[in-house]
Parts: sequence; structure tokens; C-alpha cells
Amino acid sequence: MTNDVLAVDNISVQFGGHIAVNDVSLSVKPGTITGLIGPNGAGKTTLFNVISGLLTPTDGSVHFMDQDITSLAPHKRARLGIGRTFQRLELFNSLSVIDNIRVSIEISNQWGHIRPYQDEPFTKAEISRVLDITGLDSVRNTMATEIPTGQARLVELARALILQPKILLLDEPASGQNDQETETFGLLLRKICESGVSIFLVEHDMALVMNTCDEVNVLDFGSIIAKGTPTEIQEHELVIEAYLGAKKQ
Amino acid sequence: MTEFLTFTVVGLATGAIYSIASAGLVVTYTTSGIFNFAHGAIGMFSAFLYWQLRWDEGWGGFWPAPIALVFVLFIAAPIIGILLQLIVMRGLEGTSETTKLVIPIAVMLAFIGITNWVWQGAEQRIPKPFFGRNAKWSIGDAYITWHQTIIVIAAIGLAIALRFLLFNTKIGVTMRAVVDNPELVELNGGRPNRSAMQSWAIGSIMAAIAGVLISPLLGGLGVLALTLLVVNAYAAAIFGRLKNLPLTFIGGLVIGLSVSYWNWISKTGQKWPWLSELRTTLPIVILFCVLLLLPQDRLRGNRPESLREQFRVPSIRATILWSFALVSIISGLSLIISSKWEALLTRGLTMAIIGLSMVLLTGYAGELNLAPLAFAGIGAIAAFQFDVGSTVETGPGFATLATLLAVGFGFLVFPAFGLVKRRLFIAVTAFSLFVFILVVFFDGTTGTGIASRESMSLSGLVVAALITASVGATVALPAIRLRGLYLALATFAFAIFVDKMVYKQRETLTFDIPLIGDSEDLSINLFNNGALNIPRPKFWGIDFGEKQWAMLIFVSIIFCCISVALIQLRKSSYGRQLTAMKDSPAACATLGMNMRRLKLSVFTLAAAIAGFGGALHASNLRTIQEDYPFTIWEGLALFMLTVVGGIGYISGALFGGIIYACAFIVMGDFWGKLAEDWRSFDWLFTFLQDFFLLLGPALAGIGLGRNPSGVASQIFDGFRILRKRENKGIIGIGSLLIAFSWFLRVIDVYNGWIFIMTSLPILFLMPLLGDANTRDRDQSKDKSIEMAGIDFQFSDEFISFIDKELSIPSNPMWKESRNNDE
Repeated sequence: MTNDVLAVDNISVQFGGHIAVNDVSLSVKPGTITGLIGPNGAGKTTLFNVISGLLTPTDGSVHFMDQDITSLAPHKRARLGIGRTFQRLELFNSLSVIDNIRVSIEISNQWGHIRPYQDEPFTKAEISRVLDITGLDSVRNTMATEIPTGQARLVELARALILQPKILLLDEPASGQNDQETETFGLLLRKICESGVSIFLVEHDMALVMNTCDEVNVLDFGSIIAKGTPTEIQEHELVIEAYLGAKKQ
Repeated sequence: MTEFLTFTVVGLATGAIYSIASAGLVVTYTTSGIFNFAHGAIGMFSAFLYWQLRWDEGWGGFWPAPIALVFVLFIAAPIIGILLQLIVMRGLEGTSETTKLVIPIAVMLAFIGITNWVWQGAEQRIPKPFFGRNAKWSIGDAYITWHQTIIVIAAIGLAIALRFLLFNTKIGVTMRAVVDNPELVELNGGRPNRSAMQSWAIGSIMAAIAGVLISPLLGGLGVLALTLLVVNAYAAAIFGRLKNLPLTFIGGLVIGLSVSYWNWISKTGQKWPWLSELRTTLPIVILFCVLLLLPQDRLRGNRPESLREQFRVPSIRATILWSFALVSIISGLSLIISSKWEALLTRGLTMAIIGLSMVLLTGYAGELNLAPLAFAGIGAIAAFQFDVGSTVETGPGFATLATLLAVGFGFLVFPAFGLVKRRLFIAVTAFSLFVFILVVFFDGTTGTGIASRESMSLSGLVVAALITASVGATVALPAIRLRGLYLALATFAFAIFVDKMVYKQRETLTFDIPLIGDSEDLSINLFNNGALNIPRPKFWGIDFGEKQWAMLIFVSIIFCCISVALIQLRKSSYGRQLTAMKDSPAACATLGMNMRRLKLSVFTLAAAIAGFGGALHASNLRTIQEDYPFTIWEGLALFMLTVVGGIGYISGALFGGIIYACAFIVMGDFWGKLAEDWRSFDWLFTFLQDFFLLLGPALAGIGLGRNPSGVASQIFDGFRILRKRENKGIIGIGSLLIAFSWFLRVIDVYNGWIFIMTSLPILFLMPLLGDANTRDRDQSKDKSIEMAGIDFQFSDEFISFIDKELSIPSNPMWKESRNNDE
């Protein structure tokens, strides 16, 4: 019995002869923002796919709230309270922004699996709440294809948030945002975290990671090379080597 | 032992041909990303061409085998491949899977049309094997012909050569790289277009080799039989997951041997008569099983942002208005057209109802189904067997069976509409009670069989929909894990299975339904004597058998009701979920969607619509036969035309149905009549008649690459301009003129042709006039000032407009200098 919301134990993923993730173990504590950084191709998104169930690991296990979910289908993991966004946008492009969010809550109503059937006023109130949090109210009726990337990433976040997840896996949510938007986004993540949702964040924007995360994991060539607070990570020799390609002088 | 050896040799030879054909498919797919449905048809066409050059007494004929082979395999086939790539396939970049599937289907239908056109008549065309029928050698007591030996050697040689080409030569590596990223290949000095052409040429050569080699084994050339035989190679290609050549080769051999051994065991189908057609269906059954057993790709998004297809959803109000307009137009037309036209239009509308099932399944949910008419055919058979036919011994439990089907349907579909727990039970109970009462009212429950009737009842249509829905759910249950091309192929396999095993079934099948009646509850002769007579409906005091116009208006109302329901459904929570599933399955899964349940429900619902439409279509035709109107070929044509119309639109289904049932026949009749009246030009008009009848649908499909969103939307977009306030006059005058022309036709001032010649130009002139009118009005408003003098000339009005906008007085000096310049 641990206190972790999410625990990844000795996960390995192999594609043919290529080892994408190699014996990775990490955890996310309740009410925290945990970062996962690493160079391109380090295996971050692969690990997210394993956690959300889109990919079956070659080895290892995933525990969510002390429940082994390694063999659980993606939709069942979502129903347990794992929400996620994608590195490459996965919006419902035939729908408007508000319908993207609405369909999310409708999926949760379907067959009464996630929560009992909710009526229309409840749905509307929930949508308004999430639009307010994410600041998407001004584009609520715009088609998903017609909004800029930064806002599109917020739609993905809103879509996940409305399901009231226990943990959010955010895959490069700030890419496509300008500096000011990223700063605001960092505050938003903090606000979400304070409401009791744990966040597991993959991000290339170091300022966002260092300013927002409570703990950071560094992945390189599929393996964890460092863990610690943002300050510890910034000083870590292996991390500097992985990012700059040379040892610190 | 001799028998075993003989059947093994036959199986190996046939399997080797499948291997060659499937290797060609794999090459094209690996290098272009397009599954070439026309592969079988290219092989068939090549076999006909080879026969023409070798044995026909007309043009060509009596060429020596090596020269004919070189011409067919290394000149004609590669040219076909290259032309296909250049003219058709190159335009498919950025289109959806549906479009990428439909265009090769159109090409297949085009080859079938061309072959039927060029090699007309019932003449027996019998190709001979290489070195003659008697050239053989033996292993023990088993004889092996030289033709069979050549087949096996050719297959092995080609497999090795292909593998070497793709993995050990620069051309092959470039061909494979083009699929992954053509832009990157270009940046590295490669030429993607040339690579794609090379792969299509090689694919075509392989298809031609297979066609030439297999044709002597058939006994005689047949267009559809030969196309289907090479289609059997699909199973082998899937065996190799469309990328692994050695596995593909093994798959071909497994299929060939399986068919051969089955022939041996079943004594070519005589041992178990009800399974007699399995010898031709076995490769397709294997295809279905292989598809189900293969591990599937993990969930991905569909990248719709890069697709050229865009489907808008109309409002309910607009749909209802259009529905009223459609029924009104059809009612008006029924007063002035002959019964032949009424019958054609009715046929088009019943086909359009079947097309609506595709709009729901493929247009809204993104699930490909190549068996729409197989489900429609099952609906027609069900309506016959359980409502108007006399061959069924149903026992007293028929009403119970129908009720059970209704319960199953309710539990599968209703939860998708948000009905759960108590509300679900109430809804299912109400629905099944309705079905029970309907069946009891129309068919009774106490007889030992439903008496043959002279008309179809409402119960027949409802039961047809329910039975088809249950078949749809049964097929979908194992197939829902499939997506995209694999799902399309699974449904294609199902359609061929229904073609062979159901429509050609002559045996009486007996079923024991648990808990109902005695041990032989259902005794069905599925397709009695190759034809079923299904009478028209008769209810609410209207006999639709006597009045074609009543049937026409009835089916148009049914079409409109289902259309409105579908639009309502698309706008509902359920419709949004279907759209979400189509757009990004990966996102849906991570939001908690159980896609299998959603897919199962939409498959069931779509099958119900197809079954209902099929029963109505059969009832309208009065007789259906094993080879018309529900065969795989008709189904592919309807699917293709619906996609051409716009698979995401109700109007797409209407377009597909009407064009399929009427347009090409009317065009053919039109040219035929001209050929009769103008004898001196009859060669030209006969040519045009054949052209439209045989190639019209295929060419319409091939043209889809230019407008993947569909033709119907384009037409509607054209008319949308008439909604503007300034165009009310045009629409008013145009409508009045058409109404006046219609009135003159009603009072027999002129005939139908003149009505068409007067009203169609008015109809198509209206949007053009509207567009011109709007453009004139918007000219000054819409023009970007920066583009003045580039995109358009300075006019006095424009200068005045700028002056006014900038609040400056007009400058007469400037105007004068401009006039001097001119």
C-alpha cells in the first residue's frame, strides 16, 4: 500500500529490435505536479501511451491508486480517473470547441459507466465551469479546426478536465503557446493541482517545468537518468550531458 | 495416395497463382499505401487480352505465345499500371480511407465494363494451358501438367525477385520510402512520382501474370468469375499483413491447398449439397478468419486535419423543409411521368434508403462496410420468408422469435441513446411489445406456417429490419475490432459469402430455436429456385401494387422520415460520439469510450436500415434473383456512387440511389433512342449508349478524387447563393417558370422530354444568375483595396467607393488622368 496516485514499475517497451523504454520506474504523488523531461525520442510519449493503455508494455506493471491496471483497456483506465492530452493534437475536428467538451461528458454518461446519467442543466453547468477555467469561452462555438494550436491544446485539457480525473497526463501541453500564454498556463496547472488533481507533465519548455513541477524525472534513451526537485535536476550532471551532449566543465 | 497427390498438385498450382497475385497487391500497397481493389480486374483484363492475341479469329489472333506474353505482361500491363498511377491514384493524396478505397473499386468496375464492352456476346473463350493439355509428367501415379509446373516455378522466381527488388535495390528502397514520406524522398534527390509509377507497373504485371496463368484452369473466360478468382488473393495478402512477402507467398499456398483438399473431401461439393458453394467461398472465409485473428494496429488518430473531405451538418429545420420539397417535387413529377419513370425513380429511392445505412455507418461513424446490399438482400429474404412466402414452416413460435429479436435489438441499440437501467428496461419492453402486437396482428401466432399472401405487411418490413439487424450484430461482433481497410475487407468477404452461400443456396435448412416449439421450428429454403417473388405492400387501405405513383410517394416519404431521424441522430449525443470516434479513436478511448459497444450499436442500426430498405426495394421490384439486385458488384457500385454523392450527407445517399437506378439507364435509353431515329449516326449513338451503361458508374467513381466531399454538396453549395435576399426574385421567377412548364406538361401541351429540356436549363441557370447578381452587388464591398489594379481594374464605382469610405471628395483630376491612360 503506497500513497502514490500512479506508480510505474520496471516498464519496458520494445518495438522489434528497438528498446523505446527500458526498465523505467517512477511515481506520481497525490496533489503534485510531476514532470517528465528528456530529449526527442527519449520515450516520453511511449511511456504515456503505456500508462493510458494505448500501448501494451513488453515488461513491467502500472498501478493506479494501488490497483494494477497493466492489462486494463484504455477506456477502463479513463473511467478510473486517468485523463490525458496528446503531443500530436487529437481533437474531434468535425465538432466545435463546445461540442468537443460536451462529447467528453456524454461519453461519461454513456451506459452509466463513469457516473449516473446527468441531465442537460448539469452538463451545461459543467461545460461553463471548464470553459471558464481554460479561458475558452470566446471560441466556444468555433470549429476545432479553426482555432490556433495553443487554444487547441487547451481544448484537449478542457475535454479531459470535465471528466474530473484524479490524474492528468499532459503531453507537451504548452507547445504552440507563446511565452505569455505559457506563463498563464503554468498558473492554470497550479490551480488544477490545488483542486486535487495530480498532474504528470511531459514538456520541452524548461521554464514551465522548472517553475511548475514539484518533482522532475529525466528520461534519456528510454531510461530514467535522474529524479529530483527542479533545482536538483538543473544541477544534475547526466541531465546536462543528455541535453547539451557534453559533460559539464 | 494418388488422389491426395493429385489434389496437392492442383492446390499448389492454384495457390502459386494466388501467391503471385497477392505479391502484386503487396507491392502496390507497400509502395503507394493504396489497396488496389482493381488488381483482380487487371488480371482478368490481361487474360482476355492474351486470349485475343493467341486464339481469337478477329483482330489480333494467332500470335506466338512468347510474343503475346511479352506484349501482355511487359507492354500492356505496365502501361495500365503507369496510366492508373498518373491519371487516377496520384490525386488521392490527402483523402480519407473511404476515398482511397472507392477509387480502386471504381477502376475495377471500369475494367469489368471495358471487358464486357470489348468482348461482348456469349461466345465461349477457352484459353489453352502452356504446351497443351496433354503435356505432363508424373510423380508416382499422379500427373503434373507443364502448365502447373510453370506456375509453381514462376511463383517461386517472382517471390525471390520481388524480395530482392524491394530490399536490395535502390529502386525498391526508394519505392518503400515514398510511402513513408514522399517529401523527404524528394529532398534527398529521389523522384516519388517515378517510384510510384514503377510500383504500379510491377503490381500490374503481377496481376497480369496471375490472370494469364489462372485462366486455362477455369475452362472458359468469365469476367466476374476471373475477377473474383484473383480477389481470392486478398486473403493471401492479408496473411502477410500487406507487407511480408514470404508470409504472403505461404498464405497463397495455404489457400490453394485448402480449396483443393476441400474439393477432395467434399467430392467437389456433392457430399454436402448445402455446402456445395464453399469450394468457391473458402478463400473468402479464410480471409475473414485471418482478418479476425491477426493482431491489430494500436489505436491512432485519423489525422482529419489533413483530409480534404469536409461534411457539414444541416439543421433539422432545413432537413424537414427539404424533405417536404422532395416529396412535393416527386408528387408533382408523378403526375407527368410515365410508369416506367415512376418505377425507375422508386427504385432509385429504395436504393437511396439502403444508401442511408452507409451514411450512418461510414459517413457519420467512419466504419467502412462494403456489404450494404448483402444486408439489404438478407432483409428482402427475411421479408419473403416471414411475411409473404409459403416455404417457411415457422411453427407457433414466430411471434416469440420476432419479440426476442426486438429485445436483442433494444438492448444493443437503446443504451447508445442514453437509456440505462430502468429507462432502458421500459423502452425495450415497450418496443418488443409493439413488435409482438404487430406480428400477431398481421401474421398470427397459431398457424403451422405463414400463408402465402398477395401483399407485404408492415410486419414484414419491421421483421426484415430486425432480422437484418441481428445478422448485422452477429457479423459485427467479431469484426468490430477491425478498422479501416481491414474492416472493409471483412465486410467484402461477408458480401461474397452471402452472394455464394445464401443467394445460391437451394437446400432446405432446418433450425431448432431453443425454448420454442418442436425440434424443427424453422425450415427455410433460403433462395427458392433462384428467385423470390415479393409482392408490394398493402396497408392503410392503399394497394401499392396497383399504383406505381403511390409506391413512389410512399418510399419518398419513408426516405424523408429516415433522413430526418438520421440528422436528428447526428445532432444528438450519440451522433457526436460517432463523429468523435471517426475523428480520433485514440482520444475517445482515453475519454472512457467503449468503442466496441458503440460500433456494435451503429452496425446493428445501419444493418436494420439496410434490411428495411432491401425489403422495400425487393417489394418494389416484385422479384429478386440470385444475380440481381443484391450482388456484391451492385453493392460496390452503390457504395461507390454514394461516396461520389457525399457519404457524409443525406443528399449523397439520394444521389447514389437515383444515379445508380436511373441516370445511366436513362442515358443509355436516350442514346439508344437517338440511334434508332438517326440511323446514319447509329454507330456513334450506340457507342455512347454502351459507354454510359458500362462505364458511367465507374467514371463517376474515378472522378471522386477531384471532389472527395461529394458531388451533392457541391450542387447544394451552388444553390445556396439563392438564399440571399437579393436573389429572391431569381428563385421566384425560376420556380414560376418551372411550375408553368410542369403545368403545360400536365395538360399535355408537350411531352416529358420538352418539359425536361425547358425546366433543367432554368434550374441550373438559377444559381448561375444568383451568383452573378450577388457578385455584382458585392463587387465593391468584397474587394481588397490592396489588390486594386492587380486582381481587378479600377472602375469609377470602385474609386467612388474608396472616396466614400475614406471620406474624401472625389478627385476629378485623377479620374481624368486615368481616362487618358486608357
